[in-house]
Amino acid sequence: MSMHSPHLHDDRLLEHYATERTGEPGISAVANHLALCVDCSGRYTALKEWLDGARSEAIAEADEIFTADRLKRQQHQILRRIEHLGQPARVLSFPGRLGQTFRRGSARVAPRWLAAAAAAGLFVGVAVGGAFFEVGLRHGGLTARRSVQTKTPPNVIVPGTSDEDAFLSDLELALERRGAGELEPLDELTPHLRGVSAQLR
Amino acid sequence: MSETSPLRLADSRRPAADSAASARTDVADDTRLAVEIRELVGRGAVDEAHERFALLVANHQRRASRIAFQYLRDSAEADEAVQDAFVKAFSHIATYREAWPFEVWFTRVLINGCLDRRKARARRDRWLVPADDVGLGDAQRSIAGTIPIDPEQRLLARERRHRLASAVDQLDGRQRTIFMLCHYADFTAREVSAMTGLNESTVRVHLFRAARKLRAILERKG
Repeated sequence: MSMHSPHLHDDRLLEHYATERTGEPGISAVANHLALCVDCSGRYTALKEWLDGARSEAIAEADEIFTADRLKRQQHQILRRIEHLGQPARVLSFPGRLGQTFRRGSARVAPRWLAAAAAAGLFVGVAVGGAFFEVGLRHGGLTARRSVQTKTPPNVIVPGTSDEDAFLSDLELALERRGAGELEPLDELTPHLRGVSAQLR
Repeated sequence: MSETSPLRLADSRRPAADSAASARTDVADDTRLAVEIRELVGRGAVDEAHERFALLVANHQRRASRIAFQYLRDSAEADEAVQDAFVKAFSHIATYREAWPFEVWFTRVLINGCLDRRKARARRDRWLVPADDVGLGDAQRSIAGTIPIDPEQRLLARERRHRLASAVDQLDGRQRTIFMLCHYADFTAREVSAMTGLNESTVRVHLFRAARKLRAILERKG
């Protein structure tokens, strides 16, 4: 009961319900009030019906699924798993002949040579490729690149996206690199977004 | 183990008031049994410990399955969660202390497992289409004999349960846990407080809020 209302608060009714159902002694003040107040008694009955209904639905649903048979199977499974606890894992034997082939010393030489050769090839390839690229830049061998860049539409950048920020930051980094000045003639040839927008207006 | 074990407590405790005293005795029996198992394992009498543990499994598995199913809403996953919880309880029986009944300790293990599974499922569901599983098919459940045979009744029951489950699912994590443990599994606020580490009065507050919120959700829907 609150100071202002002669009736029981819902929480008191819930508390009374919970204590009654779990077999603990009910709240005597609430029980006394319920015996006298028709309003609260009606509210309590409605609350009890709703909670009991929800509970029995939930329990019935679970019990329909977990039938006695299923629980028996579950129990069997649990006990089986417990029996195997602490037992060392069974090691499956690997085919013996295959294992022996790999253990022979001479068989390991070829893969080592192969790995070394592959690493050397990669190193030489990267070095030669880098040298060719430098030479190409110095001798104006950029015709192919130029054609690709001029074909790129200027309005592919979507303003206001994070991609745009990333792209612009990449651009700034690229401009700071050595040799960027040699690309200035190419930059002059390509249309600029600013210019294209002005033309469109 | 048979379902009529003298140590059975899970169902006997439920109808509450009239059977409360006997239920408490069962709880004490289970706790004694758990202590006995702990000692047997300590002495290396593993076979005997297994036998005793089978009694505990029989006593608690129905309620454990109910709780796990309410948490996970998937019968296969609930089954696995219950199995894992029992296996974990046995393998950690040395850490069990009789300050709390075995069922409180065990339920804590079970709930933690269920919460982990819910988290894992939430991660999985971001990438995969969740399976629509509420356990057995209707036909199979009819064979079990507990489902209403009348298709209309069956449909209505299914609809009611679905509404209730989705309403419970809308509760926040703590409220859901406390509502399930207090209302579906019949634990007292004190026991739930021991399981969750929350203050007893906080448990009550969460329970009341959960009930109010659930009622509001269901009234709004229905």
